[in-house]
Amino acid sequence: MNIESYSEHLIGKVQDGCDQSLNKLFSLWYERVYNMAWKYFGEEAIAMDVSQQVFISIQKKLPSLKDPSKFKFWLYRTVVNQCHMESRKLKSRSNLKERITQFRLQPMQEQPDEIYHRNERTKMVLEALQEIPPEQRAIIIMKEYEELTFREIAETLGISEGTAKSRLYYGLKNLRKVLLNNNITKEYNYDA
Amino acid sequence: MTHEQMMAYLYGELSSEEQAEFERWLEQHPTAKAELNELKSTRSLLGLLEDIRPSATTVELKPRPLISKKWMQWMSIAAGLALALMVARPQLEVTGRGAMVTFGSYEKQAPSTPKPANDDDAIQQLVAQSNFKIYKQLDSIQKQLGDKIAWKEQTLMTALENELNSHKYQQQQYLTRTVNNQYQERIPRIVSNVQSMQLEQRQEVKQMLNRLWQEWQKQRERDMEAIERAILELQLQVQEDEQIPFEEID
Repeated sequence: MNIESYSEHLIGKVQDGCDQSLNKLFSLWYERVYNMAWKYFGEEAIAMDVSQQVFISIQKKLPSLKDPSKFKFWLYRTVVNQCHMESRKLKSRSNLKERITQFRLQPMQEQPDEIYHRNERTKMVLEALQEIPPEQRAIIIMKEYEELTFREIAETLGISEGTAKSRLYYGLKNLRKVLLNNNITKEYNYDA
Repeated sequence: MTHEQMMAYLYGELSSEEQAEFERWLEQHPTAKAELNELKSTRSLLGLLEDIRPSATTVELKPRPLISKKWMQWMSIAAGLALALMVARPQLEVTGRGAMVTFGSYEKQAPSTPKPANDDDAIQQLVAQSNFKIYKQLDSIQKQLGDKIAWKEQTLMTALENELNSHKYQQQQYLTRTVNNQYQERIPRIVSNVQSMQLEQRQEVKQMLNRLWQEWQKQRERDMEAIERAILELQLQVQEDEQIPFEEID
């Protein structure tokens, strides 16, 4: 039984009023939701807040979910919407910068050179992701890390496949621009 | 070729024919090929970002209603049925020929009253009639009393149940509030911890700088003394050298 059909089974039980199944369902998807939000915001504290909000909303709406086989797309749509909402909220409070500075204040541990450089690059990729438009970022996350097909992304976000592809194209282009500005792509030019 | 086809190719979502066609086209368009390679390199950088394990998996949820929707539906059906039964007052009578259910209030039929043959009979009949009336009244009084008692019991039970439910709800509310508060309190605590840590570090750095400055001053003084001493020795040496007669050198 894969994760999706197991979820379907659990949703049936939740709709019959089984709290334990709700817990199981949440622990099944928590890590995915958390990681999506983390890549979207580049910060664990916000990822935790957003995951919390997503599951509260899911709990509220789950009893009226008509097609449990589409749970995954429904969940991902909720995550993306919640992320956009939170991002707007943060922007309006303009404390995103503060939070990022706090994030960078973390003491650096001494590490072997290679690991250090790899971590630095990972951090730069995470930071670069934050600098591209949210709609493009969401698609990059769903395609690269959640491995959804273009058709699935289109269904999840309620857009056409063409729009999904072109958002991804411009997202990758913008990301490359940011990374080039930060001098990170030099050693990663792909040799065909 | 469009961006859309390039994306579908980049993520392996073209059919084998489309893919072959795209590759043939790519061979003739070096600019597009270069662009594709750039996109691939960006993708490989994205691949560096691996999943992390959530630092906490506590999901704080709102309290569920004590009675689920489904149960509420069943209970309302049951209540409706009970009400219908109370109003309709069905009676079940089992006789030798079978069973019969009747609805409506049950009244004892008055015994048939044969015509009195004489006065005695007339008196007996009157007594019987009044007896019957008394029995009937007694019966209705008993019924009313029973109904009243049952109703009182019912209201008492409902009140108790309500009380219990409201207690349970308050408990849940209290728990949720407590967890919420703890969570809210955590953020300022972390921030203040970080700030106090920064302050401490700043003070430490200040102290270290002070110490360094003092050490350096001392060292400088020592160095100056040493230099002065060396110059003095050199002067003495030069004077001594000057005093040596030339003959001795020769």
